[in-house]
Amino acid sequence: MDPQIKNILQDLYSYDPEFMKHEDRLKSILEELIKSKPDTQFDPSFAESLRQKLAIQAETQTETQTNKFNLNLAFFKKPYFIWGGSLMAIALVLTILSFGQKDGKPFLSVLTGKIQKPNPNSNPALTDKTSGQATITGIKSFTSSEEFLAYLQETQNIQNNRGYGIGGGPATLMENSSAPLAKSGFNSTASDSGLAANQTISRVSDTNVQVAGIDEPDIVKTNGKQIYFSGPQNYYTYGQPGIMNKISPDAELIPSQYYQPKTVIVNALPPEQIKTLGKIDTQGEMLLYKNTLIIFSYDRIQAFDVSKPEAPVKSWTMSYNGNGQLVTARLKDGKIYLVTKNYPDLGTPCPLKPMSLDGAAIEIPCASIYHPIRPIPDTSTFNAFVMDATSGQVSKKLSFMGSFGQSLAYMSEESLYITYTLNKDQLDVMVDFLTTNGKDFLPNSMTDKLKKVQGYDISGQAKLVELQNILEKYFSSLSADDQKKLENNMQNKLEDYYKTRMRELVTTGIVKIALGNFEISATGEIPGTPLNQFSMDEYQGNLRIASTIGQGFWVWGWGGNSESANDVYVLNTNLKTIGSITDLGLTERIYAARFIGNRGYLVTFRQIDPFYVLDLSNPASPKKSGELKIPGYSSYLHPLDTNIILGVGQENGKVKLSLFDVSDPSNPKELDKYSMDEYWTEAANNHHAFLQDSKHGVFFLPGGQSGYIFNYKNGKLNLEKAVANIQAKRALYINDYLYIIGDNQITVLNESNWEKIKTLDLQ
Amino acid sequence: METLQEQLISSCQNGEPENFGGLYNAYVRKIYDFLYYRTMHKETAEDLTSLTFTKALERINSYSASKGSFSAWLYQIARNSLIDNYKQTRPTDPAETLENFAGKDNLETQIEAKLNLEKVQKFLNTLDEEKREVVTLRVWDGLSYKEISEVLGKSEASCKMIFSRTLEKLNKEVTFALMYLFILKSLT
Repeated sequence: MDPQIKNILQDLYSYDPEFMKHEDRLKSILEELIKSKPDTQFDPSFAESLRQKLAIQAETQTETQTNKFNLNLAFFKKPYFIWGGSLMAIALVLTILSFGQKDGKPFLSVLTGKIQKPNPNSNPALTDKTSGQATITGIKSFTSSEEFLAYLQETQNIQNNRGYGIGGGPATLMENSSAPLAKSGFNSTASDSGLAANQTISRVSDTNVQVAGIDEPDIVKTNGKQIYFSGPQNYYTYGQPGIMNKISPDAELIPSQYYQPKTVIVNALPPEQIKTLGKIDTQGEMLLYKNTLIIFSYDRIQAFDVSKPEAPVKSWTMSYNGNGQLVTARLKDGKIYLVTKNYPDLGTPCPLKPMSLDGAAIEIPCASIYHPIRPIPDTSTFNAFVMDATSGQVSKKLSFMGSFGQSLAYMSEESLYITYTLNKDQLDVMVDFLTTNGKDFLPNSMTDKLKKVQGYDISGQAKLVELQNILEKYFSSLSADDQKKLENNMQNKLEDYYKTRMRELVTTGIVKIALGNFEISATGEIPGTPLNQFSMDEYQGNLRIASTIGQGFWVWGWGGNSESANDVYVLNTNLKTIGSITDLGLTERIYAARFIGNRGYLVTFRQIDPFYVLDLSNPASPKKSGELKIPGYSSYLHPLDTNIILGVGQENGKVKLSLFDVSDPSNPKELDKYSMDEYWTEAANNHHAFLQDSKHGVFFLPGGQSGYIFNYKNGKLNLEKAVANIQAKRALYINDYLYIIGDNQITVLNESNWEKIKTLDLQ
Repeated sequence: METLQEQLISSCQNGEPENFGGLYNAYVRKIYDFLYYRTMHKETAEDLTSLTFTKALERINSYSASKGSFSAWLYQIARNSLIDNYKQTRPTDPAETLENFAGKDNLETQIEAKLNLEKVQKFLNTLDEEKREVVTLRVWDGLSYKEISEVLGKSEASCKMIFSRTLEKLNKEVTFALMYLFILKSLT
């Protein structure tokens, strides 16, 4: 056996001996993979020329370091080979893909949802269909650890029996992309520390957030007196269209973990004398409540008392247990609403212990773990906590079972919504296709047999084998002519079948937690997947949610842009769908969404950028009121004024800003646009990087390594000021001074004349 | 006892960067392949390989074995280069990379290669970020869980969990795929 194959197999077996059962199949797959390994076209002459280049660089470095000529001709002449062996360079993916196609053409196959007529009012995954009586939420909690484990066992069975449409849409663990301003409670902070007597703070900006008054973690926080800046660092950003999701870079290429992680504390006033007060040796996104600074690093959450900002004192530490990770956090009225996620296994009985506070495990009893009545595959436990920001004490907690894929969180004044992606049982889909459509190309005796197998009380794996046998027998009995006919008929039917079922293949489960009693108040399900937190909005008790359909169900050529559509659903307080707009931007996907009061704004994109204005004044009958088609796309929409929306996106590979006039919803207009000489802005993917200062009629965004301030007065976009090459990340204002925060320095500008007041080096 | 690699690193850090050659020899192909899989473009992969090693040599003193393995450090630099590149360039149209594929062969091969590439991209886009990272690092780049955990800054346990979960699903997909492969075979 090829050593690489052996290695991968052994790895899998040691993790889960169950894989051994499939050795032959896994082996042939891996062999196939190696055969289809893409040629990376490695060019030895390139390697040689780079070697020469590095040799020269090494000499120069030696000269610089030792300040003497020390030509070492041995450079690269010693044949060191530390790593042997060839690369395992195959995409598992490739093989699987190659299995799925024939003659280079996608072989559409047989999979799609649990086949009921699409009924947006039903919550198939979350309602008890057997009893016929839907509970209020369609979920219940566990009564014992045994029940919990039995449920896990069952979900694993489903998992083993199901094919899967891999969780689709933008991968989002931390909430991403694209925002009003939150008052994070620190304006009311009254500590006088560090504030000169003659300095008053008349106004101070907050992180640009989705819901005013609900703060979101970010790498810069201020209370108007101190600025806390955590970085530089690597962190994830999402949603950049058309390319692999990527990690937001350091300005430096050298991994940041080799720098000492730090959060710097800067005295912000007076602006001409800003100075570094101290630092904390950890970094991550932060929340600030009064004198407590909370830092979310990848393996723990730490809080510091910063009442003496020059000497912060750690007040509490919350650490993740097992494979736990942060989904998101919000801060409202001194309370942190924290959502984390764990992947449980059969060795994890309840009570769950997903987090520890200062070393003491926080237990979630079986009775506080909710699950859909019908088990879902690919289970994760989501854990939600209400914590006191100052003490870290957890006052409320619960868990619920959701799926492993993409998860988003949105918090309104009243509720916390958490979504997860659900993929339909492919076995069911296949059988359903064959039984419902099979009569057109299969004899009745065959469809009867298939139905019968479906009804057997055996594992999905066994059913699959049975089905395979039946089909195998049948196909081999046909003549070549009949086989060709059957193949064509099947393909044809599959296309239609997919189109009618696409809203059932990948759906999104929504769990709503009431902030008051912190209990699950409703669950729901919608077709497709939402893009990011801005795809959701609660207004007058209803949840509006925008989703892309037909993305993420990857099966033998299905899914992808060619079949996608975009919908907007309005769900009532019980998360039942009461209205919808469907099929916006066919063949496109959502790039940005924003709901404001009675209106919704949506950008879909494939080649041009339709900007849609939606009328949501009647929740039961939402409708498209207008659209505008322009080149490029926007991936962040920001309301600058009641009827002026700014779009931040791209056109022709450059950052584009568009000013939309939506005063006439039936006829949105592009008032002005500005094409920046930058390839990328973080604001297109992360709304925290954007700052609006309406007093001065300007907004800030980083672009490339620089910071940009645009004036949007009179419906025109004018570049007011550019601050070059400071590796700009964020901006904030205190009184009438704009602080531009870059990886290595902070520059303070006077907003009345945009003159540079002071630059502070953070190195 | 210090391994040869450790000796090379410490000699580079102690003013003899010419010994970087041994490290370069050991990793150039791996890093190039890593970059190629993620760009599917020969020239870009070469440019980024140059950048990765130039930076690594320049900053060799900032590497510390106590913070992780040398290979993970190199992969992180390569990954950061890649990210910077994404930031600065437009997404490459799969069609534009076509010329990279077996240009010498006939049109049919090219089209097949292009279809494959599009399918790979489509598939990859359906995986969420962390699954994609872990699976590609494990299967394409052949890194160990320990290395993956260092590159990604995640725990080893969670990398293992993510990989096996994804593989479990892939395995399931393959069951279906094989079944259809069988049907195809019986149909032709």
